[in-house]
Amino acid sequence: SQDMIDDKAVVSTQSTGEGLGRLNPEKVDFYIDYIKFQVEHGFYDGDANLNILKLYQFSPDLITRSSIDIVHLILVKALMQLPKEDYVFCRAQLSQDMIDDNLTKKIDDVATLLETCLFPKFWSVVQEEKIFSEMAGFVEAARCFICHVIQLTYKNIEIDFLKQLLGPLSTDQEFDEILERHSWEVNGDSVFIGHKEEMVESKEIVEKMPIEVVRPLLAIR
Amino acid sequence: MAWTGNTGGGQQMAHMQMMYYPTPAVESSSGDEVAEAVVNFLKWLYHFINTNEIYHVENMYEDGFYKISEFYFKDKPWPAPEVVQEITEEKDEQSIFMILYRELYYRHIYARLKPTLEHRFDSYSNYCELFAYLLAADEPVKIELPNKWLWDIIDEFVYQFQSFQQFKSKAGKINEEEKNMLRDEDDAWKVTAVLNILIQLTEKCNINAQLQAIEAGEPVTEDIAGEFGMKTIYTMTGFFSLVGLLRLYCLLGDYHLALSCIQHVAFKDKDMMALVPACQITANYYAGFAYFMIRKYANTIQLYQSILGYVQRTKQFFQNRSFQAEDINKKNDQMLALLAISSYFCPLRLDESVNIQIKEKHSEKVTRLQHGDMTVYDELFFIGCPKFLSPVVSENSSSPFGSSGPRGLQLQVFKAEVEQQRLIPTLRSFLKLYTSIPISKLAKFLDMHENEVRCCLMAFKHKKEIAKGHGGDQTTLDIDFYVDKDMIHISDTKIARHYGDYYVQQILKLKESNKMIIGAALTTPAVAPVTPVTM
Repeated sequence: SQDMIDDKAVVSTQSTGEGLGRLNPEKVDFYIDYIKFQVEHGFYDGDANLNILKLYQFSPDLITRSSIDIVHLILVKALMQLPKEDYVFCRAQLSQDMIDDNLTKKIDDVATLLETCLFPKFWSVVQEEKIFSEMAGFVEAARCFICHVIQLTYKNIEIDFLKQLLGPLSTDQEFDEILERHSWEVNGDSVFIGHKEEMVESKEIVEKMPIEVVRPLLAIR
Repeated sequence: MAWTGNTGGGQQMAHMQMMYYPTPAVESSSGDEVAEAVVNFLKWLYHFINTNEIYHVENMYEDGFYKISEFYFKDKPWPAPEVVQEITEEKDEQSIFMILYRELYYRHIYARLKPTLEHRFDSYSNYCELFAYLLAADEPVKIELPNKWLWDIIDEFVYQFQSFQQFKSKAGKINEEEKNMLRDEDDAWKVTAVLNILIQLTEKCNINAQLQAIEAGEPVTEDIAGEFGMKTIYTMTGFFSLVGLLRLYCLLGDYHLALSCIQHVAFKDKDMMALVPACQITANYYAGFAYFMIRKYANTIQLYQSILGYVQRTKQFFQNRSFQAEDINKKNDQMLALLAISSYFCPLRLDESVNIQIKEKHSEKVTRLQHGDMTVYDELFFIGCPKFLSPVVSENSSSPFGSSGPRGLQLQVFKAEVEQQRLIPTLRSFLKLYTSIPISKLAKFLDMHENEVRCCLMAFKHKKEIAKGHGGDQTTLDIDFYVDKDMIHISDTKIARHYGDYYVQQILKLKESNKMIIGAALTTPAVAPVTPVTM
């Protein structure tokens, strides 16, 4: 009946507004241009990039031969957000075909190297792939993450090891700039990162009983 | 009590209750006759829905519908909608009562029987009518419905979509006729339409703005909620749609949107969610699962602990509803499996009752986890994970349980984390034994190069930081450490013996035993007094 058709029309109208995931397949080219723009100009819009992956998931007919290149860009950009969870979000939206692609596998390996903090190996691997060396801001983002982890872990770190972790630096000045940015101080053959003693203070965990647990007892006569 | 057309009051209620008790069924061979109790139920339901007597509607919905289904329609559908229209003398087949009845009718078929493809399409059309009724209205609709019914509508809507996707993916089991029907009717149950409906329902009442106001402790005015948001039916439907979206996004592997749905939802006891227990359990399960997939184990543990405690405390109320109890038990087991993994990666203090449950259900698997068995992760994940979906199912899709089906894809994401965590538990167990240890010594124990150990130490810290999530007041059982050049300094956390939980469990058990003994004593026939034998 006409009413039923109208009802379906009401609920299937797609608006172009933002929302909890409202997608418009017609916007896919816009999003693709947008991420290329992000790559070129070195900024990041995670929500928009995830929209592309979602559109590929919902409308596989949008996928062309060059779509996998866009996927790669999205993944590397997401990786640059570590320790935030952007990479996992993206990774969970990929199809098996996208996952099996050789470059995707390489990017995944790099992601694992970062998550397992095998930083020296990370630097040698990323030099092998164009996508990393040609991505504006990638090296800086990686260093930012690495320094974050160093900050979590170390009170004092040997200079030689620190330099290994930070990857190839073009000048000594670059190294000094990094130290200054994080307020790290050189101390002979090591670098002072920060005081960490309170982390290992003796703690005793005392029991707490929330009221909900005790309430049933109070009702007993 | 037969329908007489007048509506008395409390007396009517009492009489109505009687009619749900199984009366000698009017078994008819033709199957056309509708039992008297059912007729009465339908007439009363029709009346109360039209007069908006929500208290009675709630009773009939929660109690009557279930009991009558159990007794009269255990393995057959409720009367056809046309028949019901006759019985209730409803002229308009598109009236809200008929739409609601059809929703119940199809829900029953999905629950107790097998829906045909035609059922699936018709049910979808009915949902479109129902949601259009709410959404296309120029001003808020007058009808009110109990919260439980609203939740069940949304829950069932998502469930039927899930069921449809699973049906389509079993390519081998679809016959030729069904394939043609699918091709012709390709509008029904499209993922974008389903999502769109839920999103529109959340927007109609500005639920996010309302939740933000509640978060900030401000009153929810019409400025914030809008004209529609001031009516309970819209706000509750909007809220339940948020939970429906959370669930659907998790099933599609989109944890980002899943978590964005609940960013303003407070998972506390006195919340909108608490109004319907099934909603609370669903919301906690899926939110916890989304956090689990992005490695924020502390959040998962916090949510699951509190909801498992809630389920324990309210278990007795679900006993009489076998469907609900089954669902809840399933979710319970799923959460336990995920907790087993989460607390292995992120040792936090677990409530004693939860620990006991994990031991009861999964002790063998937990042991294998602790021994570094890598195969047990797959098993636990399969138990704990939801039934993932693919948004589009083509005719040649692979099985949803295959390695490249939706479940396989998410498993791969999880296994990446398993691989990244591989060395950490061993590292943890060694560090636990010391308050300080040189890297060189640790490297010897672990049979690794020193630099590898250094990287592993950093990985430990990195993963720990992520797992923390948004903090909270959990008590960590984990060690902490820092590295000073070539020396590792480790924290020394002592846990005081926790007696409280154990005592509470024992006191409650004793109370139960006492009850049983007293109960038994009262019903045992008195022993005949022994008369002394006189000789």
